[in-house]
Amino acid sequence: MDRFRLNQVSQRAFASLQRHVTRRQMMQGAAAVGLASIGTRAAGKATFAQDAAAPEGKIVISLASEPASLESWYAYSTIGVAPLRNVFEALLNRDPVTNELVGELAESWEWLDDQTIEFKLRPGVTFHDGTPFNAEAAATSLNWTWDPETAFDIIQFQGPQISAEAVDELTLRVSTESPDPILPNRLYFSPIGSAEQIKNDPDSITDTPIGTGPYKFVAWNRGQNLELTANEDWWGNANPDAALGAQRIKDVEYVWRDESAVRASQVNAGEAQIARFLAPEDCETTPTCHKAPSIETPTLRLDTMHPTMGDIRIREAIGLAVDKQELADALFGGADVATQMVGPSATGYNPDLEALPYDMERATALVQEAAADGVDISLPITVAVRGGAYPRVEEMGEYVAQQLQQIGLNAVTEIIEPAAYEEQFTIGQPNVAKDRGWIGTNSHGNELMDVGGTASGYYRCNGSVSTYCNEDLDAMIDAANPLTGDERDAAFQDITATFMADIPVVPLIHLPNYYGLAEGVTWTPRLDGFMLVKEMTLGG
Amino acid sequence: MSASTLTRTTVAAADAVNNLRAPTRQGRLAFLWQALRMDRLALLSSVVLLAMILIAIFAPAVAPYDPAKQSLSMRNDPPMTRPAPDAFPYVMGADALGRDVLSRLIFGARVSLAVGATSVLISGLVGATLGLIAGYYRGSVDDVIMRAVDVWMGFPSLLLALIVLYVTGAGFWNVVLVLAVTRWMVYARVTRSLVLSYRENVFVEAARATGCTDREIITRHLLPNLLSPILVLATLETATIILIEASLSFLGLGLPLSVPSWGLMLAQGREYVTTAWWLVTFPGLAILITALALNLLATWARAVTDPAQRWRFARKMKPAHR
Amino acid sequence: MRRLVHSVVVLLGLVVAVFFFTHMLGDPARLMLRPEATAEQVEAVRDRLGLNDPLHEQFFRFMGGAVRGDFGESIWQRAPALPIMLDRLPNTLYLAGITILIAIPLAALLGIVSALRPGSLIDRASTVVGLAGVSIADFWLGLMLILFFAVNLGWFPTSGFGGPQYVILPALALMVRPLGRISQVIRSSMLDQLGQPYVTTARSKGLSERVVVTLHAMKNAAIPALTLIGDETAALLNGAVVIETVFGWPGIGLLLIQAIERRDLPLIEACVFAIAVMIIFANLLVDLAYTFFDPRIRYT
Repeated sequence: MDRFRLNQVSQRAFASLQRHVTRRQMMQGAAAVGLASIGTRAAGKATFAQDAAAPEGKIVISLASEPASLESWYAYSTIGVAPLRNVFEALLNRDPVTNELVGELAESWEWLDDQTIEFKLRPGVTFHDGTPFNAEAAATSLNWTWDPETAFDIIQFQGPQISAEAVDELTLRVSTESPDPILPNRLYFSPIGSAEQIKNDPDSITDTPIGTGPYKFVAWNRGQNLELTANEDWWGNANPDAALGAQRIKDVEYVWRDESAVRASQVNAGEAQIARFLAPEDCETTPTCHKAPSIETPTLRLDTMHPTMGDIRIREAIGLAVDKQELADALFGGADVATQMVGPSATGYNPDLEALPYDMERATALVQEAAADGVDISLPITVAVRGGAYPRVEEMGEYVAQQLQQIGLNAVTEIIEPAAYEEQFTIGQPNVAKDRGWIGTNSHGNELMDVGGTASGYYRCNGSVSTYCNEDLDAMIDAANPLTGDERDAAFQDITATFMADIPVVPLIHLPNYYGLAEGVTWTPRLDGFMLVKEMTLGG
Repeated sequence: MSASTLTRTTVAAADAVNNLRAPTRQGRLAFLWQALRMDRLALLSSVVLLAMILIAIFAPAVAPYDPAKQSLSMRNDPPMTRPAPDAFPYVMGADALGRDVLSRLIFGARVSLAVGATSVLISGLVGATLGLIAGYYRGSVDDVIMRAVDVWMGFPSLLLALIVLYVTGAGFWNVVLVLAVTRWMVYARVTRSLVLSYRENVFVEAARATGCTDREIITRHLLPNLLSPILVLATLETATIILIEASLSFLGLGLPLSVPSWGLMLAQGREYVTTAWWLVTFPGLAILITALALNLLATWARAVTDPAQRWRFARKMKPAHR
Repeated sequence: MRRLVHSVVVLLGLVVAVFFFTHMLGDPARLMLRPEATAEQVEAVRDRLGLNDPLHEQFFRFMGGAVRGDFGESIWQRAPALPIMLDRLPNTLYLAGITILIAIPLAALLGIVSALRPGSLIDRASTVVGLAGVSIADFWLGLMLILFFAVNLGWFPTSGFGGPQYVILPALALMVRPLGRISQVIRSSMLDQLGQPYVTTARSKGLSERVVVTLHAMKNAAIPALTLIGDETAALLNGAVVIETVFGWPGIGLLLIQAIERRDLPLIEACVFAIAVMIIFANLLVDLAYTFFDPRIRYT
């Protein structure tokens, strides 16, 4: 879960957000406020009337963990994005309603060729340290972020090497080593920090963020809180429509608590106004509970080289033995059952696939049939859980193990320490020991909104997280990778169908996120998980 | 050690034992029983512990339900919910996977007691042996052992266990060994000081004078005298070990998931502390009751078996009754 | 002093052992990246973290730094580990300090009064506290305190760090054990002293003499308690790890758990080092206190 969620969600997924929010709020009896806000937003592109009033009041937001660093690039991460994206802005943002990429620090952009985009930057923007934001500053910051030498964790979201150069004061060119059709998606979560600071005071970067955003840094009391305050010189104050938000709140404080129950009670006790990433039952205790879809898909990944799970009947039986709907309702507060490793928003999502039904009888019969054919069903199978990987994963692991025991497999759950888990999980298909017998329980985050990424990781023989090998499928993926548009979509739909037919994975559900809001606070969670204070109001 | 807590009844019991002479083994047992009967708290503790041990041994027969039987539809159901209209209720409620908390507690008793007893056995054997060697042979051996004990004592045992378990991973034997490694010093200290005091005793001197070997002196004269104080200490330590094991499981480093230990139940229930109080309350109470019973029993046993304390409290009786 | 020198040597050894222990498994770089990250991307991050250097080079780099109090850069927080740890240190000292400052005088009071008045209400109360101290799981007590006083009654914040209201519940949870153990030891060593002939004689002589002698007995009774206080300080840091986790208290204990979870070696080392120094310091204080209570003990 400590990963960035880039939610380019289709109309269909967005409709499901509205459905969830509406239902939730009616249950809470707080329909008036929420429905009104959805009403205006659903009407079309978001508009923000000029807000003449000075920002006032303070909001406390309770997060699940403390940011590890306050560097600008770290605003890409699930943890860092909540505070940092209010301090830093990027060339692009997403419209909170349509989820389309829109200009933030860039006013417009166009592809010069398949490797280069030219951005026209917003004039009159300054960093919090008073230095001007221009093409030179943007290039310095972007090149620092993607520098192969520094190897910041954000490199995992880089395709071909990214580089930026200033053409004139407000014209910036960003290019890639080789064609990269989703470069704008990557730049959307690559925030821009002060070039002055990068050049002359690099030591302060980790604890003193200097961006262009609506909120500027006040203090970081490590282990305790992080404080921001409204930036009166923010460009958005003069241009609220382009800013897609307004400074209605003056001060922002972030606190962090490990336990969902504690975060919820902070909201209920008035210690915080918004609690992030709650468990469904804790969220229900808060005055307003928002449920938002995410692009995470918890999945059972089966070791197909294992003598027992190598038999497709066993793999099918495992899929049949898990009651995905019950799991979604009991543990995740209701969620859509997944039919594949990605959601409908991704290119290459195959709408024709269906989840295996819950059928213990058939599952048991399949196991017995396989056993009769000489498959050794007594070999140990480990439902491997990375502790804390996502909420309720431990319970899900225990549930799966019990279901598999009931159909006659020798399964146990094991909670594995994160580092040890990741090491085994990413060992690569050719290196997996035949007798390992893992059922991995990772959640696949489809940040790049394209099955291409999922395929290279999970579908291929040499994928870093693959436990499956089918050379024909590899060839299909190779052929599909250079394609674009509808051709690409069709090719990857085909690939997904072929992959899923072999059941190397059992996708479970599409994971929702829960946020608890205090009385009077209005805010609609974004599909990408950003928590922009400029989109919040305190009310009252 | 602490917990030299003595109630008035304990004092009376100690006095009773003190005044009775018990030449035979059978006689001693009879006196112990008599002393136990005189201390209601100690009696209650032994009944509780005995019950706990029996429940642990016969867990499958005692538990109303299979502790591993899940039912997502019963997730976090409150105490006294019935899985079916006529079925025996889940007296202590259901956990996050719809398992019967009471049955899990009953099977958890097995784990906690097994971890406690095994670790205490290992650390007791190792610690007492080292203490015996240090105290009997003195000199540089003593120096080395006791210096190690001092340093070991000073380091927070939980931290040590934490780091070792992160490397070795969870598991019954890993936990048992780690706990033994972090607790042996207590026995070494106590045994050594006991040996030192007996070593210069007349009967040991006499034995040496008559040409007994070291081995004979240790096995015939020292060990019998060491046994009861070490047993008392072991009882106290069992309580400590059960608490540490719970802490380790609570931090996610104890026993594997398939074993329902009390600490693990607490760790799993912690997330629901505000929504399902029974998940944390009952396992915590089980730990408390067990540790309390062990401590009370140890206190009583010490008063009864320790000649120094017997003497002291027999005297103290008088001012107390003024 | 000899004891001190030895502790320093062995605890340094421990820091070294932790280095090798934690280097034996897991790859922090893997933890920071998505599972789908390519091998090259993982390698780049490993290079940045210096994890690709031979183990002995990493070790000498670490030891060279550790001697100067430089544990290297925290992998998780991307800043030098020592200042991060020092940032949290006052919070642990604050919690442990409050706990000790209340627990020791209170324990002394309970112990002395219950020794002077065996069987009284206070004696029985201190017996209960003594038993609770060794029988209750401190983290469970913490959870129960949160459930009752924070969630149900709303008197205190559920967790976190801030004004005085934040320290009460964690200090209470942390206090039970030292309070119980120390009061019991003081009680029994007081009883021991009161049984000595000099006290019995004084008793027969009259009140003023009795007061003087009782004070003298108290001073003598303090010595066994001091040994225990030294050990209890170590135990308190044990407790702090769990209690800080339960209450989200931003001290060294919570930091250590977080560092271990993220396999942040420099930070783990810095925390272990801090805890070791605190223990040494506590033992030093105890040693000094010995010389105060017992003039026969002199350290040269």
